[in-house]
Amino acid sequence: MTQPQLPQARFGRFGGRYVPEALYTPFERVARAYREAVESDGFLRRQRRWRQMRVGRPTPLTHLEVLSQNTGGAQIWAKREDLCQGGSFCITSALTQALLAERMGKQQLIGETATGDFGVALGSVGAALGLDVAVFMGREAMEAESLNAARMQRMGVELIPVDSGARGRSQSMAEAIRNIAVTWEDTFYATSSLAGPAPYPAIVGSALSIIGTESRRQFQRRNIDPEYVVAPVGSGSFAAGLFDAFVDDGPQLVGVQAGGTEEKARDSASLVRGRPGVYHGTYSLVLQDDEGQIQAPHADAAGMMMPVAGPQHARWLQDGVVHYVTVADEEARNAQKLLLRTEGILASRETGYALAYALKLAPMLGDDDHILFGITGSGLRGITAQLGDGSDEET
Amino acid sequence: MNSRITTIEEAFPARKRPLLMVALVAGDPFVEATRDYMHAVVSGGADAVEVLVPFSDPVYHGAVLRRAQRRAMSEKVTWDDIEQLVASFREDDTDTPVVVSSYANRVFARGEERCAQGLADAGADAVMVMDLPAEEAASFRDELQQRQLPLIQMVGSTTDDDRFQKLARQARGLLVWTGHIGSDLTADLPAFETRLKQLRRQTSLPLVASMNVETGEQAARVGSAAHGVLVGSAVSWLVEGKGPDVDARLEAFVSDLRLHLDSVAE
Repeated sequence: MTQPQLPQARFGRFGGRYVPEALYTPFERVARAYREAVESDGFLRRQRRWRQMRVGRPTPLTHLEVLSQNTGGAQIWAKREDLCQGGSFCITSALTQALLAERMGKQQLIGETATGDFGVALGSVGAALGLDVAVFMGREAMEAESLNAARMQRMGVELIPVDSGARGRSQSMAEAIRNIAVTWEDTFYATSSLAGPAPYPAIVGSALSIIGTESRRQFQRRNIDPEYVVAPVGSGSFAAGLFDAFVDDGPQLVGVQAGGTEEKARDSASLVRGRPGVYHGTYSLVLQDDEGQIQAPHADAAGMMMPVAGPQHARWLQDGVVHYVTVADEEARNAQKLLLRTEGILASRETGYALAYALKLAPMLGDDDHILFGITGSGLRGITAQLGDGSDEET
Repeated sequence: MNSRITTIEEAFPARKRPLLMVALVAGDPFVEATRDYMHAVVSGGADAVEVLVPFSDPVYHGAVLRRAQRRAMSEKVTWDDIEQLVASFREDDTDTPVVVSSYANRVFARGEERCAQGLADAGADAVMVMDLPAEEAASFRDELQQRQLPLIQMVGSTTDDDRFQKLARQARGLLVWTGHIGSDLTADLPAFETRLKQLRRQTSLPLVASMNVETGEQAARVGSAAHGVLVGSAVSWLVEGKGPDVDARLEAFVSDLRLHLDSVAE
C-alpha cells in the first residue's frame, strides 16, 4: 500500500471516531481533505503566510525577569499566545480549519466556544476568508463572557445560545455536531477542543504544534534547554501544541488541570482521576462514574472545564511522557494576579493554572535552570468578573 | 441459542406487513414501569421493543429522548437493572425481540464481554450502540456474535452505496435507517423514499426506519418505503406528561400505528 497516510486517528490505543453513522462519512471526507491539504505546497504556503500576516506568528518568548527574581530559583519564561490576533492561541487552530474548509469548497464554518475565544478566532478568520460563521455558545457563558459575545456579533458571527447549565461546552459541541450531520455538504465543523472524533485531534494538535516548534527554536537561539515546560490542560489543545516539539527529548513536560477547591472536591482532572472511555467522539480519559455516566467538570475557568482530554494526552500519560497534576482554583487565581502585578501581563485564568505550578517548581531549581509556561491568551475577556475591582485581595 | 432477531429476519418476507419497533427509555420514570410499558406496546402490536439504556450525555438523541434520559438518570439505572428488566420481561413474553441500545461509553464502562454476556443471559436479542460505527465496533461485535446477539448496524443519508454494501455484508438481524440526528431530519421524506428504494435492492436484511414518526399516517408512509418503522420520541412524549394510565395510552397509540401500518401491507 503506497497510499498516503490519513491523519492519525489513533494515539496508541486512544482516539478513534466514535460517532453515529450519519457523521462517519462527513468526518472521513474531512480526514481525506486534510491529508491532501498537508501534502500540498500551496496549502502549507498559504497557511504559513496567514500565520505571519494575520495571526502574528511567531509569538514572542518572554523572559519574566522580575517574576523570576521575586520567586527565586529558576528563570521563568512565557510563550505569548496572548499576543496573537484576537488575544488567544485559538486563532492558530481556527485558521488551519478555516483554510481547510475553504479548500473543500465549504461556505460556512460552524463551531462551538466555551470562553468565546475560539468563536472570536473563527469569526475573524471566517470574515477574512469570506466564509459565514455560526457559533454555539452556552447562554451562561455568553453572559459571563459578554465582551467576546459582543465581539463575535459585531464580526457578523451568528451566535446561537445553548441552554444547558453546567454542561455548557459539551452541550454546545453536541449542538454543533448535530447540526453538521444535516448541513455537512456546505458546512465545515471546526472545533476548539482536542477531544473530538478523528481527524480532529490530529488536525487541531498539528495546527497548534507551531507553538512548541517556535518555542524550541527561540530557546535554541539563546542556547537554552528548558528543564520544564508547563501548560494548562482542559481538553488539552493548547498543551498538545506546546508539548509536541518537546516530546522526544529534553524537558519534563507538565500538564496542569483544574483541581477545584478544598471544600468541594469538584474538578476537571480527567487525566488525574479519569478513566478510559468515549466522550465527544474519542476514546480517551474521561471523568465518569462506574456505570459510564459522564461527570460534570468544574473549574474557575471555562477553558479548563472539560470532562475529557484529547487522546494525545491519554497516550502521553500512559507512556509517562507528560506528568499531569492539579492546581487549586485559588492558586490559579493568585498566579494570574501576580503575573499582572509583577510583569504587567494580563493573562487568561487558564494560564494561571500553569503559572501556579511553575511558581511552585521555580524555588526548587537553580537560577540557571529554565521553566517555560504557556500563556493561552489575554485575560481581558474576564477581567471584571475574574479579577474584581482590585479590592478583593484575599481571593 | 438466541434466535428471535434471526426469526424476524427470516419471517419477515412472509409477514407481509411492515415491522413496528418501539423504543422505551429504561428507568423513565422507573424501571418497573418500563417493564409494564414494554408489555403495553407489545399488546398494542409492536413487533420488537428497543430498551434504551440511559446515558448522561445522549447527544445524538432529540430533545424528547434527551429529557427522558435525564429523568431516567435520577433512577441511576445500572447494567444490572437492565439485565433484570429484560429477564423479568422475558418471564411473561418469550417471543418479542428485545433490542438493547446505548452509547459506547456505557458499554465500555461495563466491559464489552461482560455487557454481551449479561444481555445474552437476560434474554436480549440484539444490541445497538448509537456512537459505535462499524470501524470501531469489531471487538464488541465479536463478543456479541459469540453469544448469537447481532450488533444492529445503522445506516443513513450519508451512507453511500459502497459503504452500504460493506456495512450490510457484515450486518445481521436488521438494518436501522437513522433518518434524523437529534430532532432534525437528515433527509426529507421524498429523498428518504428514493434512497430506500435503492437500498432495498442491495440487501436481503429488513430495513427499519427511524424518521421521527409521530402519527399513524406518518408511520404508514415511512412503513411503505422501508420494511418497518422505529418509533421512539413519540412514545417517550406519551410517558413524559400526559397524566396517569400511561400503559393504556401507550397501547392505544401503538395500536393506532399498527393499524395504519397494516393498511399498507403489500
